[in-house]
Amino acid sequence: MRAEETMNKLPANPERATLEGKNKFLGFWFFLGGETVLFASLFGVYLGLRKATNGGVTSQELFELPLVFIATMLLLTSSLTAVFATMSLKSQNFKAMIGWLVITVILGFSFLGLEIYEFNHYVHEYEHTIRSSAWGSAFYTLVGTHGAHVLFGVSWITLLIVRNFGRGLNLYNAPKFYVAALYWHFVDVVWVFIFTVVYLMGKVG
Amino acid sequence: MGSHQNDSVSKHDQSHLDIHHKIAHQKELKQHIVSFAMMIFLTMLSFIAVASEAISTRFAILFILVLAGIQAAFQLYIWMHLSHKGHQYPTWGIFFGIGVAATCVAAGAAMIW
Repeated sequence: MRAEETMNKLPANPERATLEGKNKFLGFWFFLGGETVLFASLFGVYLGLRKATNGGVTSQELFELPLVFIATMLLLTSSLTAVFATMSLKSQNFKAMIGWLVITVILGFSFLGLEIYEFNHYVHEYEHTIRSSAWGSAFYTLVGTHGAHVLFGVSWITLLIVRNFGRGLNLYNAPKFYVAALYWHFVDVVWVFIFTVVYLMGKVG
Repeated sequence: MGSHQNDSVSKHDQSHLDIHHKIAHQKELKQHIVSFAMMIFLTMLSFIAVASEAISTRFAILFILVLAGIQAAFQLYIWMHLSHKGHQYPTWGIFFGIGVAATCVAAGAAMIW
């Protein structure tokens, strides 16, 4: 230990160097397994109800691909910046890690802004609401649950940045940052299926 | 790379270790950028397949679903580091989740009339 302290270095994988870190890492992956099931149930329902428009607007008329494409690029890029943050964590460059996380949060908020604009547009221009049809309910529940995860993710990462700003990286907070980045990637994985199953499949019919 | 270092690590060994870390770091960085480019490419392919009139609906749906699967694998194995050492239990956890998830989707999609 002393050698590390004098050279101001943490072990090679600081996020899993302590028992607490190991437990967090393992527990979080199991949590993500559970989250997969949560989203799967919503996807299953969506696939079953996606044609149940109740005489209202259809998905072909509603969705606009350019908007979805921009949202996808924002989230995909934010996943890349989150992976850069994890790499900075592993090379123990605290400042770089915080920088990448700040960019991740900004991209996350931009994505949320687009989603709010989109939902607002659907409700006011097309009268496509959560109550208008079974498809509407399935759509807003699935995409809204994902949006709630994005909101939770940006809030979580923002809190981590604020709380640890003056602390630097240590064995106590390394697992926290690592796990938050994992969560962010997971949110992006779910989006891959949303843009494919909801938007693209909705567009082709 | 040992998971722990002790007092006996000399300055020389340490600088040696640092160089190894650096090389591994560079390699990983390249891998991440390549997978990012791949994912952008796959996303574009999906959007083009749907926007194009020339591709039949049935094929387009199958095609974009396969592309989504590939993208998810990229995310899990490269960006979430499932391919790294010490990820046996997480792999079991997430695949168990995916197994139950697939059943859920099949049930929901096929059984709602």
